[in-house]
This record gives sequence, structure tokens and C-alpha cells, in this order.
Amino acid sequence: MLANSLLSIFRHAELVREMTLRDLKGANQGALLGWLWLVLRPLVQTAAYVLVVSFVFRARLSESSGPFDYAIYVLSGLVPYQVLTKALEEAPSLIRERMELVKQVIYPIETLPMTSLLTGSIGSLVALAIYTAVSLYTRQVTWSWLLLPLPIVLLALFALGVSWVFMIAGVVVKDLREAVSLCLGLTVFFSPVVASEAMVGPRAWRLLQWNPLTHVVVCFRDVFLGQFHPLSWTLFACMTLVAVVVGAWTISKTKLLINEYI
Amino acid sequence: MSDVVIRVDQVWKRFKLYHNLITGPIKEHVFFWKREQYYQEFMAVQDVSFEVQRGEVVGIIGPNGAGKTTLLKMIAGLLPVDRGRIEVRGKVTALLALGVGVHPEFSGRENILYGGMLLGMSKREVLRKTESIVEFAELGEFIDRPLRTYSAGMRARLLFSISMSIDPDILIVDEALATGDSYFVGKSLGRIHEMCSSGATVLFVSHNMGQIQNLCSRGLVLMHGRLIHNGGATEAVARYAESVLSAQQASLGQTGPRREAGRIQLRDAGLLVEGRRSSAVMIGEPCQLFLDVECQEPLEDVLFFVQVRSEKCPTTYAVVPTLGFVAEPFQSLSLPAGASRVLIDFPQLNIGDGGYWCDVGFFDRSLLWNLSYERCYCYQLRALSFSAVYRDSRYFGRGTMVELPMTGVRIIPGAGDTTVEDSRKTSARLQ
Repeated sequence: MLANSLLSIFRHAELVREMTLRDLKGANQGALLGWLWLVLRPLVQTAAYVLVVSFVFRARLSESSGPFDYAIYVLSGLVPYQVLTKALEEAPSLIRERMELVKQVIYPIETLPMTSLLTGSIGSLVALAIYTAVSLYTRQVTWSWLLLPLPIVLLALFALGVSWVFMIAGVVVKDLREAVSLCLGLTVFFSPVVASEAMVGPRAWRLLQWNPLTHVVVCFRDVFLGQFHPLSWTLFACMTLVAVVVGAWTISKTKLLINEYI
Repeated sequence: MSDVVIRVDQVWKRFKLYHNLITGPIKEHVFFWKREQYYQEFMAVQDVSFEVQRGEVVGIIGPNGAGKTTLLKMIAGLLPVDRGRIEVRGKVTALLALGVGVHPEFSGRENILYGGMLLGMSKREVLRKTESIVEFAELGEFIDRPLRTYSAGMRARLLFSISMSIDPDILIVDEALATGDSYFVGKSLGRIHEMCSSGATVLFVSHNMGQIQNLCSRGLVLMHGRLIHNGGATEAVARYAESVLSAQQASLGQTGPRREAGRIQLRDAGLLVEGRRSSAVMIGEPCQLFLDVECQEPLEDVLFFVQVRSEKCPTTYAVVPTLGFVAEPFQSLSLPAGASRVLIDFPQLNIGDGGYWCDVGFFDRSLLWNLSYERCYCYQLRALSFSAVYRDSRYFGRGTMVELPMTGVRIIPGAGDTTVEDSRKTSARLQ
């Protein structure tokens, strides 16, 4: 039963791929630059961010660090953080926005979060490319980058599991969308995306550990910067497991039932 | 092994209509020990059982809200079943609505891809069929323009063509064939015919009785969530017409724009076949039309008209030639005070197949050449309705309008030859 929901995504891989392309295309269809906007926006945003942080504010991680170090530090956290928050923000309205699809067609709704996850991570992919370029330029690429698929898979599973729950709950409680986006907006200040342990001190850092999203960011950073925080990895893995089990259970229980409420 | 592909076994479906849509379902589960009802119950489908064999085409008819769509959705697996079981063997494709998932900015071709995939086809399958879909839709160069530039009819054409391209095991169609121009509807019907004869099992909901009779080998009639008929399509249509008729009779006199001078009241109207009241008549066979009227006082020189309107084309009508334009008007009637029955004999009913209704009016002879409905003694829209069917089921679905009476067929050799010589002869004659 639990595996079914996950396997369904693989079984409908083609549908997921085409629907992702459709959503991406639909957003900018008819615009002069079309596809380019998908790349242009994150490209300019991220590049501007890196330049402003590194050269205008001259933010430094520590006294001895180079000009790009802080930008790299933030970007390495920002990429996974953005992917995750975007997916979670979208989740509550996934079914509501595709009501006719769910009501009139035999559509595998368990694949909806996957489509949304893929659609939402295009921008972050661009940011990741910029991040890689900057890291290469400053020669900070380590062998640990080879482990990158590991946190990506965990992140995807975590996002899926939570999205399944949010997606179903969002059908009944419309307020969920606003609530989720509000909470996620707040967590950016309570996560290590912009803050480092050296900057905020050990006490505040310990406080940050209570935010579950912290561990996601830390794990990605471990891979990017060649560090290892066993606690975060354990927690991230456990969170993912719980999210997937609860999510898959929810979706398999309510998949049919939800049609009555919309 | 029997070849049952759909087995519906004592299925019940209950909808919970929550008093409060948001807190209702939450309260129900949180306070599960409380007896309080947070919803009203609505039984959409009650104790329905039937089986469908492979290759059968089954029509489902019934008034709005009878549970047809709910039943189809349960069979398609879009709604859970409350009680009972539904077994389905094979891949179900459901056409419950047109235009699901289309994007106005995408071209027709792109929408074909996504629309097709949403109907359950693989990308390769859709791409393989794209050309035939484009051809079927006959949209010309518009196929590469954005959907938002289409007219409503063109849009319907495209969406139909997408729907019609599937090769399903089991096809579920829910009133999807109602729009589009008549040429295209005919084309779509042809395609459904093709699907039916290719061995697909089809469940078909329609309010068009002609379509049901044309396409279906069997008919189910649903009324208030209950299955009241499971048998031949023609009988199903008759059964449905009957129940609608009785509902109409119950409201006769209260509804409809009844503009009457009030001197004649139409109490009842209907058709008799072999002396028994019936709402389905056999084409080409005798029947009688009765009009039960009540007058407050005796009336002389009364004429009446019966306009027989076909569901296929409600704006034109056939007249019973009491108010004929070809034949001389029928002799006028003298109606006594109180109740009486006007009985009209038809030696042969030669109208085409399908559903009909009749508007009936009574008026004074003096109004004959300047008749207005307001000045009639009585004018009743939809005084009765019936369906005309062929006795021999082989003739179903001819879509006939009328069977024209003729006296014989002759062959005159050489006549009507349009060679040069012949035309010269004609022109010579013209001179």
C-alpha cells in the first residue's frame, strides 16, 4: 500500500514529465522570450545576489575568508531551501487548482506533488549551476559532491510525503495554503540559510536545530562544503521516512474519498 | 467463463451534505463518539445491480439527479462505493467532460498531446494518432494557432476529436455528445458506432432518446437512484418516457404557458395503442390520439390543432390536418358541457423514429385564418409526449424524419437521358 503511491510515480513517469513540461510551457506561452524567462529570472536574481553580497556589502564568513565565501555559503543552503519551500507552498492548492482534472479524468493524483516539485525546481537548478560555476572559480569543489544525489533523493521524498498530506488537507481546509506560506516565510529567519554558527553564536545555533528545515540545509551544505553533521543526517533521514510513510498512508486512504469533497 | 466485464452488485452511494463544508467533516471525525449529525444524507444510488458483457453497448437514461453520473464515476473508479461491489475487467476510459486540462495559450496540436494523455493514452500513442485527430477535427490551419483564438464550435470540434481518438476496452460516455454542429455530431456518432462494433464495451449516458435507441443494445433506467429498468433499449426509452409522462401529468395544469380563454380545459392527453395507453408507438402501425376535455357550456364550431414536434428539430412540426394547409379543414366539432373525449384515429403512423411531443389547442372556427394562441379556448404546450420506434430492431438508428407514402415505382426505358441529342430535343421543344 505504502510502496504503491511511490511506485505510481514511476509508473506514470511519462505523464509526470509531460505535465511538468506543460506547466513550464504554459507559464510563459505567448511571451516573446518564452522559455528564456525560466532561466533568465533565477539567473539574474542569483547573480545579482552573489555580486551584491560579495562586493557591495562585503559580507565575510570570517576574517580570513575570500570574497565569494559567504555567497557560496548562502547559496549552498538557499538552493535546497527554495526547492523545498516552493513545493510545500504549492502543495495545499494542488488539488483545488486541478479540480476538473481530479473530478473528470482518471488522474493519478499522487503524482501531482512530483510534477509541482519538478516545475518548482527549475529555477533552483539554474541557481545550482551558478553556484557550481562560482565554486569552480574559487576551487572549492570537493569529492563529496559525488554524494549529491543522496540528499536530493531524501529531499524529494520528504517533499513528496509532506505534500501528500498538505494536498489532501488543503482540499478540506482552504486556509492551509496561507498558513503554510506564512510559516515558511518565517522559518527563513530561523534557518541556517543566511546565518552561520560563527555569526549567531552557539546558543542561537542550538535554537535553530529545532527547525526541521535546518537539517535539510545542513545536509546539503555537508555535501557541498565537505563537512559531516551526523545528527542532521539522522534527523533528515528520519523526517523523510516519517513523511513518506504518513503521506503515502494518507493518500492511499483518501485518494478516492477526496472526490466527494471537491 | 462468462464474459462479464462490468459487474455492479447491490451498490449504494450516499453523499454527506455537510451543514458546514469545512468544519463538518473535521468535527465528524474528531467527535466520532457524539451522536450529533453534522450532515444530511443524500442517497444518490440505491441498491443498483447489473452486469455488462464484453462488447455490449448499454445506455443509461433517467432525469437529472437520478444518479447516472454518480454511477458512472463509481464504475470509472472516480468515486468510492459505500456499499456493494463493482468489479471492472479491463482499462476504463471515461469521457465525463470535454476539455479537461486544455490550455488556451497552447496550439491545437499541443492541446491534442496533453488532452490525449489526460485521457490515459501514452505519448507515443497520441503522437501516432495526432494526424488522424487533426484530420477528424477539420480545423485547417487553425490547428497550429492558440486555442484561445478558436470559436466555441471549433473548440468543441477539437475536444471531440481528441476524445474520439481513443481505443478503449471499456468506454464511459457521459452526455458528452451534446454540442457541436450537427454535421460534427453525426461524425462523432459514426465514430462511436465504430468503437461499438470494434468490440469495445460502452456505457452511455444521454438525454437524447434517439441516440440511446441508435447505439445501445440494452438500456438501464435510473429514477431517484434506483434501477427501474434493465432490458432492451427501446423498452427503456418507452419506460422512461412513461415515467416522465406521469410526472408531467401530475403537474399538468400548473406549468407551461397556458393561455386559455378558459372555456375548454384539457384534462388529459395521450396515445392509445390497441386500446391501451402507451407512450411508445410503433412506426407504421395504427394508433389513436385522445384529448380529454371539459367544457363549462356546450360549444359549437370548435376546431383543434395538434402540432407534433420532434426532439430532433423542435422548431418545425407536423400537423394533424384538422388545421391543415394541404387538406381542407376538418369538420368542426360540437362539444357538450362537461367532460368528453376527442379521439383521433391514425391508420398508420408514418413519422420517423425518435422522441416527440405535441402541443394541443382548441379554438373557434371564426379564428381559423387569423389564429392567435391567446384567443384559443385552450392551448397547451407539451400536452403529451411519446417516442416512435421501429418494431424491427434492425431499423434502429436510421434517423428518419417521415416515411413518405407512395403508390408505386415504375421504370420508363430511355426517358431522362441527358445526352446531347436529348438536350437538343428539349431545346427544340422549348422553342
